[in-house]
Amino acid sequence: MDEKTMLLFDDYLQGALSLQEQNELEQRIQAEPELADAFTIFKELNGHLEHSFSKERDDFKSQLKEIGASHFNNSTTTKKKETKVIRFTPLRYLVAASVIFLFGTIMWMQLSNPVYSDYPVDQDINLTLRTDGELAFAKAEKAFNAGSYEEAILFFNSILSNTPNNAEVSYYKGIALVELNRFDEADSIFSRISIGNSVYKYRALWSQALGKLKQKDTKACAEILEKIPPEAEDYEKAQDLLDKL
Amino acid sequence: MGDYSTHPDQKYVDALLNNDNKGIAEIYSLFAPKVIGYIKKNSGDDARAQDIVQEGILTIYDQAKTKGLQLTCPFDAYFFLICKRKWLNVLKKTSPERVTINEEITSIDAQIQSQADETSMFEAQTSLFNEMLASMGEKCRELIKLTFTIKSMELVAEKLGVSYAYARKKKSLCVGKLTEMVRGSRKYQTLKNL
Repeated sequence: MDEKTMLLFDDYLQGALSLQEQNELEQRIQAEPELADAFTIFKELNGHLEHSFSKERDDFKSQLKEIGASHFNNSTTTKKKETKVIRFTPLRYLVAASVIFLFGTIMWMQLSNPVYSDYPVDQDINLTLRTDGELAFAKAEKAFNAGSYEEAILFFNSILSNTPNNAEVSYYKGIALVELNRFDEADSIFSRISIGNSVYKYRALWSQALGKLKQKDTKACAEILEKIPPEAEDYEKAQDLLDKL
Repeated sequence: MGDYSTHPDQKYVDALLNNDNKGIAEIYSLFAPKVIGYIKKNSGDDARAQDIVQEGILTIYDQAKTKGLQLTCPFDAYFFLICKRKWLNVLKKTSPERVTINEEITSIDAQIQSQADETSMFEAQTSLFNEMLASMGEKCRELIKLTFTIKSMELVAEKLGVSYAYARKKKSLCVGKLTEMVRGSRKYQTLKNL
């Protein structure tokens, strides 16, 4: 295949062709088996490369390793650790109790008033999905990372108009909306993601809870935090915040 | 495959797709022991068995992500067969003369066999793609790596100090070159005719 054809394939996959050009290429693919063969490989290669270099796959691999390691360690450890019994005398109880009380008080004083600003936005997003709007993705990333949330939202919207189910982009749009105090819009986005099946479903709950925290609505915040299950990435943070609330 | 409906065990594939820790842990506890037992009985040890289990899961994940794998048979038998084939391949590489692949054809359901065959095809294609990428000229290979890692052509262009249009054109041509390398390889022709 010549260079022109390869560029045409790429434009097709990126959605950069006009409807007429698309139809023309599709007709040629149907009529010319060699072209069809090359197109199939070109398309599959793109899918393969996109996936194998993705951060998502990298993350999955490390997650797999971690779960595997803990599973294999558990199943190969045949001897259970012996439980040590320590005898406590009453006086020691008293000392222990006062130490715990003291610690508790200090902790409580330090942690009693959690606020939204305790949880800064991850400033360095890196959008992993890309379809036909490469430019919009780059611009959205840039704007978001620079803290220009209004601008980022414009680009997120343009991406979402093509791929309305892009959970990742919706998720970051939600965060941007919270930053701009547009809580109702953020809420509806987070609620939608959290009932979906994407990897962002629990992260959306966490961000939604932070939105409530920003509005000082601790009751709603706690209610949302309680929905975050132990397998979620943010579970510990959520439990921690729940304790403070 | 269109005639078969999705098996309820698709939930395990979905667990992988959703990075669901609990589901993945369940895969380990329910399905890994059988694989590990088999490998240890067939000249393997714990460490190698664990590697095969992880590779098996990763392959299923890759296939599900890029090809939308739909499970039409029980996960248990399918996963076991994939891992078993992987292990036999390892053995074949280390001591080819000693391995006879006995797939116990009579005892394996045709549906499971065909699902595992599909995965083997997928693996063969993936390894062909990787092999060809590795044998590409360095410039193209690096550009491909960069564009598919960074994702944004604008940033790639910025990083390379070239224009956006130029970077995009170069990337398309490099993937085009890779396409031609794959198409011209004997392995591809064999796979195509399978």
